[in-house]
Amino acid sequence: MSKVKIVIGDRLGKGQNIAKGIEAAGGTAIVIPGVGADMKVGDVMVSESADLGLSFCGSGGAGALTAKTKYGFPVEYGLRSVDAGITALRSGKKVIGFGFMDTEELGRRMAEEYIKLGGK
Amino acid sequence: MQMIDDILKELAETKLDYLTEISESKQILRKIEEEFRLMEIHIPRDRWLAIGAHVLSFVRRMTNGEKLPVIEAELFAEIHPDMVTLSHKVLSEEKSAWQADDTEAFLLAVHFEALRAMQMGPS
Repeated sequence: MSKVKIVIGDRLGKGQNIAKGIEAAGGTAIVIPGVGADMKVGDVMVSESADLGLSFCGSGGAGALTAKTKYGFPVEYGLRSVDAGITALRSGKKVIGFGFMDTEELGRRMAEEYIKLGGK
Repeated sequence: MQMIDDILKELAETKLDYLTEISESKQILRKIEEEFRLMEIHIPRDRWLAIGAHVLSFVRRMTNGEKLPVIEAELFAEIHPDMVTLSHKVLSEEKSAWQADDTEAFLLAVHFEALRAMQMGPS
């Protein structure tokens, strides 16, 4: 069975801690490097055939909305907590935008939840 | 101008809690529209949508007195300085109580840099 593959795009090029959490949960994390990475989440999800995208900036909206506009992904953004992200995941969102939150917990719990939901 | 109204309408429909920030956001978006018109840089609709969402969130943060973490100085080297200056300009000239800091200016400048690079190539 293939691993859940999650793309991380952070306005400041961060996301390494989230990636650690995803890997710890048994998933594969792709951190887009460089400033403005959040705006490339949709592009990288498509090129890497990823399962989920996580966008981070003030609200995570730019990355999520760009992915929705270009590729039609169901999105949620403006989230401020891991629990809110889990709720978005359960409602079928594929690109989820947060305020800046580069934590292992976020990556681990999102990957665990995706696996639990039967996505992988 | 019509583009700004359309974008704000779309954003408000998808996120109802944005409604209270629309008026102030519109003023900032008009400034952005004017500045990029003067530079003869076209802003595509998908970029408007991303910028609109960002500005609405910015206004919300200012209204709530929320501060984002300070950004490392070296990250500013990745953006053309004119875009950071422009960002400060559009965020700071409002007759509002808030004062946009360097972090807020940088985050919006990333949007401007994406537009500038798209039009002119990387610096």
